[in-house]
Amino acid sequence: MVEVNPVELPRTSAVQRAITLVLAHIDRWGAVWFGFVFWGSVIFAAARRIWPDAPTPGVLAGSLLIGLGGGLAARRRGYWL
Amino acid sequence: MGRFQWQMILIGLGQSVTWMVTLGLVLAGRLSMWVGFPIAFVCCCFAYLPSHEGQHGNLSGRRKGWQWIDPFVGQISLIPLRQSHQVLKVTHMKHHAHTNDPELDVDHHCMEGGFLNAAISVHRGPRAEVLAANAERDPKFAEGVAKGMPMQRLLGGLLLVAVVFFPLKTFFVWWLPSALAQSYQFIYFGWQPHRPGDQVGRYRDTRFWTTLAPRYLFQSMQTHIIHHMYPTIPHWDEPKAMEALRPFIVERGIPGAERIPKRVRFNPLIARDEAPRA
Repeated sequence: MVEVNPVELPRTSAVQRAITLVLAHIDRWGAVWFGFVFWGSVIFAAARRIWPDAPTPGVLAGSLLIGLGGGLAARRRGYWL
Repeated sequence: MGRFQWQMILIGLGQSVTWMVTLGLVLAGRLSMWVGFPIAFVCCCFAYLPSHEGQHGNLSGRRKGWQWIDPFVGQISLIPLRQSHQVLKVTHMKHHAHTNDPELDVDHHCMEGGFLNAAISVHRGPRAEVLAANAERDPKFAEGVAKGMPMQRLLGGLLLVAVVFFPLKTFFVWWLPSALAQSYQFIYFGWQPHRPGDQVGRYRDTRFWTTLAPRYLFQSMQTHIIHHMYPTIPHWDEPKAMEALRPFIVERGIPGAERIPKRVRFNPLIARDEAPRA
């Protein structure tokens, strides 16, 4: 039986564990966040230029939903284009 | 040991600084994003090759004590493309080791169709099964990719922060030029020199090609056969090497070799391409 010195065991702090969890989340849901944040922001800004008089909350919600939908589709397919 | 490839160091740092200044001026409202977009696109088009030379140690010439220049300049050059020099280095080495092998060449997904497929497939990245096969055969490959991922995530995170505050400016001066430039690079650096993509072997997997436009528009990727035969020859010296090695290249029957002119230096190599259609 192999004896392990507990002093030599790698110790993971709460911060390290949190970073690991965040990175794992990014690996799994990165495309969805990218669609939501990136495409949502770009579509919202473009829509505001095209329809400056449209109600902002509605345009924002619509833009973020389109971005989110695109991100979910990209995650399911495995790629964007 | 090779020479310092100062031209590529200059291009790598120069385009990256130009792009950063352009982005800064656009975000600060001092420059129109419609002016910034073409400038950023040109910068992004020149962003990959200096990193590529660094991946082969061709910026420092592999001189002892100066090899830090390769990843340093290589990474700075790749900032506009939001890519990790380390990730591209380990994957590119597998491209060299297994060129045109559909199961192990990480760039082979660009060969499965015409130029439009190459333009799109670069944004899909290497196929997962090809990455897994390389990782299984070479544990250092997976380690190398993992080592470069933090940089890739950092640049991706910066893009997301920027787009929240400056959505259209970030889109037109960072994301779009970068995406278009990567398509351009994959067509002319990956697809065109390795067409039709079904021949393997040092003297078969790369071809001499031409178009009706001067080679300078394609960063002289017509000399890519020299690079695949001798990756440590600096890109800037490939025309000279091609002239010297021309008889050997013809003798070996490298695809397209018979069309290589005797003078390649300062020759735009304008001619109709004779490649088999994909």
